[in-house]
Order: sequence, then structure tokens, then C-alpha cells
Amino acid sequence: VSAPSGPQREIPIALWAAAGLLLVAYVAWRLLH
Amino acid sequence: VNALVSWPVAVACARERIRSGPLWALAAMMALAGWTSDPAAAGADLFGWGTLKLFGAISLMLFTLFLGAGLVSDELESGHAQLVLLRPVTRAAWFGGRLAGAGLVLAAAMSLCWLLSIASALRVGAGLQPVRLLALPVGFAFAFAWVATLAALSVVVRGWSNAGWVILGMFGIGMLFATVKATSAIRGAMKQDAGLADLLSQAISTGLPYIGPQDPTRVLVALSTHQPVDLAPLLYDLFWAAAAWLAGVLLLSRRELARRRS
Repeated sequence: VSAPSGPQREIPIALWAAAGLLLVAYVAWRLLH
Repeated sequence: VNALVSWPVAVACARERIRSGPLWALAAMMALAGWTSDPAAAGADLFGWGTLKLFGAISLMLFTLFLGAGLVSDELESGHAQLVLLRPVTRAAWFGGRLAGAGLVLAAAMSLCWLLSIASALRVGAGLQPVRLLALPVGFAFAFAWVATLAALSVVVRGWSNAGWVILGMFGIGMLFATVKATSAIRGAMKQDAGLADLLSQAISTGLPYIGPQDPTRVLVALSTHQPVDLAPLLYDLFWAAAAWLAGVLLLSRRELARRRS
């Protein structure tokens, strides 16, 4: 049995975007307060 | 959204989790914490560590640990995951489904606790603070960040040991901090050079809030007493949850799921 590959393993861009935006929001809040 | 969460997987996960007996017992403890919470307070005592009434916080912590224990590894080890992933479901959507399913159960238990706290406040006639309405979303962000952490850990460790690692990590870091603090205090009292111990103690207390979700319930107290509101812990928790989710998906996509038999 071989492990599935290709589209099975795609990482949604929305996850990267959410983590990145929330990090930016946190850092911005800390810098502004 | 379907790329992030497979809802059939989420519903199946929620159904499977609510069959657990200890989870019901802990949900009952949370409900009791809600019913007996301070009706005049802002609701920070429901889910937060900030007040001295820790019954709610401890019940929620145990509930979260039970909910997240083996969240992913149970499915990987039984072979269920491999079967589901034969269908056109990506690993990311499957992981998101497991996490969302646990999130649904968590939201249900926390809502029960929160609704009972409101009911008891109305019954006593203490007058409901509008801030208390925010206690649920704020508390949920905190607890869900922990569930996401447990889910990500569950991709790489066996069985229920993800919960064990979280407990061990918190305990170990606490012990390390206490030891370094005590060493620095003793050396200071003996007028010895405490350079390294002081430095370590400072480094740990600076880094400590960042190695896990932060308790955001102080926001509620600040809002109800008209003090400046610090959203940083809440934003950090949301970031932490997203980062843990992403880490879980990345780890799962790299993991070899099928055992090769030789």
C-alpha cells in the first residue's frame, strides 16, 4: 500500500493567510499599545 | 471552507466524542460552575484563571484534555483515517473536520455553562452585566486554542499521550521556573552573585506567556470596570489556534499513513 500523494496533501492557502494575519494583528496591537 | 473543514468528518467526530462518559461528568462540573458563578461578576470566573474561583477553569481544563486526547491518533491507529482518506477528502479537510468536531462539542459544553450562569444571575435578580455575554466567545477562543494544540500533537504522538505531553510540559516548565526563581532568591538572600539564575529567571518569565495560549478573560474584567482593554491575549490565542491548526495539517501531510508490511 503506498501513501497517497498530490492533491491529497494540499495545504489550504486560507490557513496560511489566517495564521499570518492574526500574527500581524497581534504584533500591531502590541506595538500600538 | 470545504478545503479547511470536511463537515461530515466533523459531525462524525462530535458524535463519537459525546459517547465518552468522563466528558459528560466534566460537562456536568462545568454546568455546576456556571450555575454557582458570581452573578454580579463579569463572567471572568467562568472559564478563566484570573480569579481565585478556579472550579470553572479546572473543569474546563480537564474537559479540554479529555476532548483532545487521541483526537487524531485514535483514527490513525485504528485505520479509520486511512479509509476515509480513500474518498476525495484532503488530509487538510479531514484534520479540520476532526478539529471542528471537537470544537462543536467544546462549544456545546461551554454554552451550557454560560447559559446556566446567565440563568442563575437572572434568578438572583443581580442584574445581568452586558459584558457577561462576551464571556462565551472570549473563553472559547482560549479553550479552542488548547484543543488545536492537542490535535496538532496528536498527529505525531501515539494514543492519548498528546494530553500527557501537554500536562508534562506545563508541569515541567512550572517546576523549572520555580527552581530557577528559588535559586535566584536564595542566592540574593545569601548575597552571592546570582547572575546566571537571575538571567534565566528573567528569560523564562519573559518567554513563559508565549509558549501556550494566554488567558484572555481579563478583557472581561477590564470592560466591566471601564479600564483600558488589552486585546493582546485574545489576539494571541486566535493566532495560536490558527498556527496549531496549520502545524497539525503540515505534520499530517508529511506523515506516512499506510504501514508497509514486509
